[in-house]
This record gives sequence, C-alpha cells and structure tokens, in this order.
Amino acid sequence: MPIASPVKFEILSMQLPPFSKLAVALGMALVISHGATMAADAAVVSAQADEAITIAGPYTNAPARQVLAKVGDQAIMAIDLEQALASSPVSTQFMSMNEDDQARVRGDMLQRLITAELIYLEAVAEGFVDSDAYRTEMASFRTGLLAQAYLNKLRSEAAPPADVMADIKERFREDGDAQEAAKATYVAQRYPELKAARIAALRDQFGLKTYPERLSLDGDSAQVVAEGDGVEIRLGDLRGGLDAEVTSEPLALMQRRLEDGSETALLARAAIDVGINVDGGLERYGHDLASRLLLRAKQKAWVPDEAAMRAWFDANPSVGEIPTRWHVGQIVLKTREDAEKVSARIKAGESLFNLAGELSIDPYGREHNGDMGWFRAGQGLPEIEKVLDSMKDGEISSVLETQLGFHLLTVLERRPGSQKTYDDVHDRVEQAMIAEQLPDFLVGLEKKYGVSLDPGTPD
Amino acid sequence: MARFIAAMLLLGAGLGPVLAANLPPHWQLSYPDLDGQVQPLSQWQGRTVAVNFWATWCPPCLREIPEFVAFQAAHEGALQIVGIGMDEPEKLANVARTLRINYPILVSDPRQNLGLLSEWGNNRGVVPYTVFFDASGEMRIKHRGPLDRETLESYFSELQSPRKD
Repeated sequence: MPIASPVKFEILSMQLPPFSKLAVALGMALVISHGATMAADAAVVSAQADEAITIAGPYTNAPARQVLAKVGDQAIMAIDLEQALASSPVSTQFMSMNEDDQARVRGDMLQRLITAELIYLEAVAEGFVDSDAYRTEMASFRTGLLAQAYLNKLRSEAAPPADVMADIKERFREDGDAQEAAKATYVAQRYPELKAARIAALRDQFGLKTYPERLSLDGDSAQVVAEGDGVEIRLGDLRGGLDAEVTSEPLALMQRRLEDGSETALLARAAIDVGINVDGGLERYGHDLASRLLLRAKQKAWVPDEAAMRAWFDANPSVGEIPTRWHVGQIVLKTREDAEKVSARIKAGESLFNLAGELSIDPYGREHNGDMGWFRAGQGLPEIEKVLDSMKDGEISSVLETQLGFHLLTVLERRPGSQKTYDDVHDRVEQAMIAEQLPDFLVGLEKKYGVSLDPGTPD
Repeated sequence: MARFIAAMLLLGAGLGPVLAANLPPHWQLSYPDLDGQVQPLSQWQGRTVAVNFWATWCPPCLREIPEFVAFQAAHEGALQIVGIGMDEPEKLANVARTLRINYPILVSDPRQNLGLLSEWGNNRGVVPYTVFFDASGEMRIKHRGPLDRETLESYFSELQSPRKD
C-alpha cells in the first residue's frame, strides 16, 4: 500500500507493561538494538531425550529445566520463559497466534529476560545489593510479603467448609459463576471478623506493646515505639519520607504508620511462626530492586538536570516537531493511460472514491473506496508528500507515477504541522535522552558478561 | 478459511448447522470442523458427551481447556468431549495446537453465536458453557461458567448412573 498504511502493533509493544518511563525506553532500545527475532523455538525443541521431562507449560512446550540461554553463569530456563509469558499481557492472545508469531513472542520475551539478567549482574557488580537503600527496602518488603502471605492463609481459612460448599454447589448447581460468587460472598462476610480476632490474639501471643506517646518529629531514631516477642519498631522506621508527604499533621501520620506498621509486623511474625517461606518472592523482588537502583543511577547520569535537558532540546528540536497530517483520498492505476482515463472521468463529474472502490489496484484503497485515512509527513513516499503539500483541499492531482503505480490524489482535510516548546515535550526529551544511551549500555553489558543462546544442556 | 467458507455454504449460506431427520433435536446438528469437513454430532451418540462452547478471546475458557484435555485422556472410550469454538477457525486451530487439544473442535459461524447458545439452553449468552449428555442421548446437565476437575468428575459419575426422578 503506497500511503497511509494502518499502524501495526509490534508484538513487543503489546507486551510492554506500564513500567516506569525508563522501562518503556528500555523496550524501545530493545526494538532498536535487537530488531531480529531470535528463534527461541530452535533452542526449545532441542530437549535431551533422556531427561526426566516435565513440560514447563503451553507457552514453551519444553522441558521445564531446559536451558535456553546463559547470561554469564546464570541460566535462563524454559520454566522462566514460561512463567514470564504466562504472566505477560499477551498471555491470552498468545494461544491463538500462529507458530511464527508465537516464536517471535518467545524470542522477544527471552531477550527481555536476558536483558533483565544483564542489568541485575551489573547492579550486583556495582554494589547496589550492598547499599543501605537496598537493605532497608528489602527488609521492609520481606515484612510486607510475610504479612501478605499470612493474610492469604487467613483468607483460605475463611473459605466455606465442606458442608457449606456442598450446599453452595447444590443451590447453584450447573452455574459455575454463581458458585464462585457465593464462595466469594461467604469469604467476604467472614474474613474481616476472622482477621480482627486473629490480630487481637496475635497481639496477646507476642505481647505487643505500642508507645504512641513517644512519637515525635525530632526524637532519637533509635527510640523504640512498639515491641513484642520478635517484633520491634523504632521511631526512625516511621519517619522515612515523611517530609515528602503532603500533610499538615505529620504526628497524626506517624500515629497511623505506627498502627499499620505494628499490625504488619505482627502478621509477619506470625507467618514466620507457622513456617511460611517467602524466599522465592523475595529473591525475585531483590533482582528487580537492584536493577531499578542501577537504572535510577544511570538515568541520573544520562539525564543529570534541567540544563542538560534544555541543551539536548536545543540541539534536537525535531523532538518537539508535530508533522503535517493529511486525510487522503487516492486511486492507483496500473498504467498512465488508465490513470489519464480515470482522471478524465473524475473531471467529467464522477467520484474518485466510487472509482477507487471499483478500479484501484491497491487492495486497501479498493476495500475502503479510496479513503486512505490520516497519515503524517515522513510516513509515505516523498514524491507523494510533495504533491499533497502543494495541493489545495478537495483538489484532484494530476497523474503521479511512483514505483507502486499511477496515482490520483486528493486531500480531504489537513492539520498543519507545528513546533512544541521545551515545556510541552519535557518528558519526551527525558525519554529520548535515555533512549540515546541505553542501546550502547546494553551492548556493553552483553560483551562484559557474555550471552550464550545455545547451551542445550539441561542444568 | 476458504474451506471453512465452503463448508458454511454447504450448510446453507452460513445459516447454521445442518439438521438431520429422525433424531432428538441436538443430535440432528452438524458443524464444520477445523478442516472444514462437516461433522454430525450424531456420530458420538451412545457415549457420555460433553459439548463445550468456547472462544479464543475468553481467558476462563482457555484456563479450563487443559482440564478437558486431561479428562478426555483419562476417560477415553467412555467419554467424548466436543468443543464448539465461537471464533475464527484459524485462531481456534492455533489454540488447539498450542494446548494440544485431544478432542474434536467444531466451528460455529460467529454471526450465529447468540442464537446458537440460546438454542443450547444458554440465554445469558456467556462462555464458557458446557452441556452434558448421557449415553442414552439425553441432555442432563447445562453448566454455565468454568469447570474444575472436581465438578467434572462429579458430573461424569452422575452421568454414568440413570437419572433420579
């Protein structure tokens, strides 16, 4: 199709989760630096026959421990790819894709896993896992994770017992949705009461005492404000980020933090007591956190301040350029003679659009009666854009030859281009500055740690 | 797609499944399979049959299919699951390949879906939806929503015994 091709979504861009700007830029960089898709399929099918095979799942159909790639000494296995795909936004569509598209999605996701591992290795090498910021956040996340796991356990305790379940199944026989709703209602009614009672019991069990009278904005950070068997909260724990909060009553906020924090600490303590293990989740979070800390530092280095951003904008004003857009009508003919004949018919009063629906050799144009939709300057053939730029709205062009055929064009509407100011495109400048640095950074990491795509041997 | 269209034309210009004479209503129906070959449901009469209505855009449908695959494998011979996909045949075929579906997938003309579900006793028009027939050919269970293994087992054992009236 010569112009106004409908925008196609790359598989990769469908996968982009709503991460930070940096992650979006990271995705862009991946598209740029790794345009070619790796045939993950090839690695996937080379399973060793004598392995006790547990298939990871439908997204890979490979033995779970099949190694797909090695990043430094770290193996990325089929089960890792399987889990990444199963939890990705493309998980449902994946099932109905053809084999080529599925291979492409696997390749893209494997590339993302490799990149994530490279960044993590670099974060470790740069000492981010030894930083105070890392330790503090990991400790706090561990407490939160344990508390959440305990609440999940509590929620399962609130599930309907066998006799109630049998009753639900009988009452809503043949209606799975209604059964699910009845179960959810039962849990929703019972859970808050169960939770309140359990927290009160845990408070007694671990002898938790809180000291709200010790709360102050400038007191000693080491001052204990809550304590019990294996539970301790200090004043410093409640003051983190307090200055950044918009509140006129910081003490009241600390009071709420003390209440919430002591409840979370109790639940986490109870989780440890019943043997709940969150190491897996903690490790995943640690990977993510270290990588985020590294990328944040890189972002600071690549986009140091407003002055640097302004200087970049002055050097690259095209980042704020809004191109001219045209709503175009078109008919394409095979020969000049055909085009001249059609041109004469249009001049005699026939509609370009009716004729395009009947005669255009461009399938999209024929299907859409010559209405090619909107497209922007820079997207189409330069010779066509030159004509569009010189035409008045509603005018029919003379015959224009391109490698695609002989065109007659008309502009239905146009939106003139404009230049945005620095303030208008502030965020875009930041993203562009990151996107400029990221590919080289990633290529450097690939060289430093080594990526191997055909390890072949299960771990 | 061409074969699918050809099959739909054979079925009466896309107006729906073929009706055969002298059989109880649902057993008279036929639908094209993923290769466009018309398949009469009557070929499975005499077994316990589960007819599962699903679509590729329906996550709960996709989640329960592996259960059906395992259940079909466990009860081969006594049970026949038949999927009726309410979607484009290419997409249905891709899901069948990806999830290694081991039972026939038939194709409903997407334009007829709402009417079709209603015809099968599902006035809400939602999928997944599964209808169970016992070996005598009687429709015994109409289940709306996804099925888990436990419910499948209980329906199957219920269908092995005569109806309690």
